[in-house]
Amino acid sequence: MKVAISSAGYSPEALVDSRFGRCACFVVYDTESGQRTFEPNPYRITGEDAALKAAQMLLSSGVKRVYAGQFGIRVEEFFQKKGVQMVVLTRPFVVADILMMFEKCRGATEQNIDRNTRKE
Amino acid sequence: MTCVPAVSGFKPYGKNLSDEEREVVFLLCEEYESIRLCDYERLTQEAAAVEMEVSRPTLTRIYRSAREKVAKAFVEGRQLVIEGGKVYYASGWFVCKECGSLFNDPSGHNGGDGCPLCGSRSVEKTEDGTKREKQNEER
Ligand SMILES: [Zn+2]
Repeated sequence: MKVAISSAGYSPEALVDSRFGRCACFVVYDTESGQRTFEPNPYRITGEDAALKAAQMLLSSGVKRVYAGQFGIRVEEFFQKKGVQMVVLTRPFVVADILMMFEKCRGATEQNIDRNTRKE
Repeated sequence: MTCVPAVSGFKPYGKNLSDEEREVVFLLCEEYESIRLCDYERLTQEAAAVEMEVSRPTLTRIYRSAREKVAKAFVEGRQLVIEGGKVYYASGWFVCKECGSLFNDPSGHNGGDGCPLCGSRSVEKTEDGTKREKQNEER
């Protein structure tokens, strides 16, 4: 499963960006392979619909779960409708913290994916 | 959403409290907007929902919260601070007791898959099913 983290910069030491739509880039992580890439957020400096466009971009690239400090109201409705999981971090984290937790509970996450797949 | 409040907040007078002593009431951008549309522009809630590009039930939730906050500030003599756009989660939100993250669960497992951040199984539904209360507590 592909997940995305809103990142304030192109480094694992960057902070998770609190504003989903305005983050510098997204760290896209594959929970099966453990691969990660930094994808620029081309909408971070555009107008009102930035967050929604970024959300659409992630959805069409197959992301099923997104981590950020907060999500705007329209993005929340959009993700709810499309079945994307949102994870709201209530404390500041750097990207590396999150990646480490991914690695740590990759086993558990894989079990969940199996269960999801069986259900579908 | 057009959210450009004329001021960024209000302070009560006639009460000699320092800023530190006063618990501030935070009015979110959407809440401000809902009062502006419903009470100032006198739109119906249906029209306000269209204007804000949210569903009608969401608008109702925002508006109710907005009025509660304004009432609290009035009655208790608290500062009111208007904030940038925040979040109003419809329902089905969970909180992780280990790391404090909030998350929805589109899998329909009711949070049973555990925390999507730390993997903890110690998760519970947020009090009112939304993220709102929690977020306000933490300010
Ligand atoms: Zn957790």
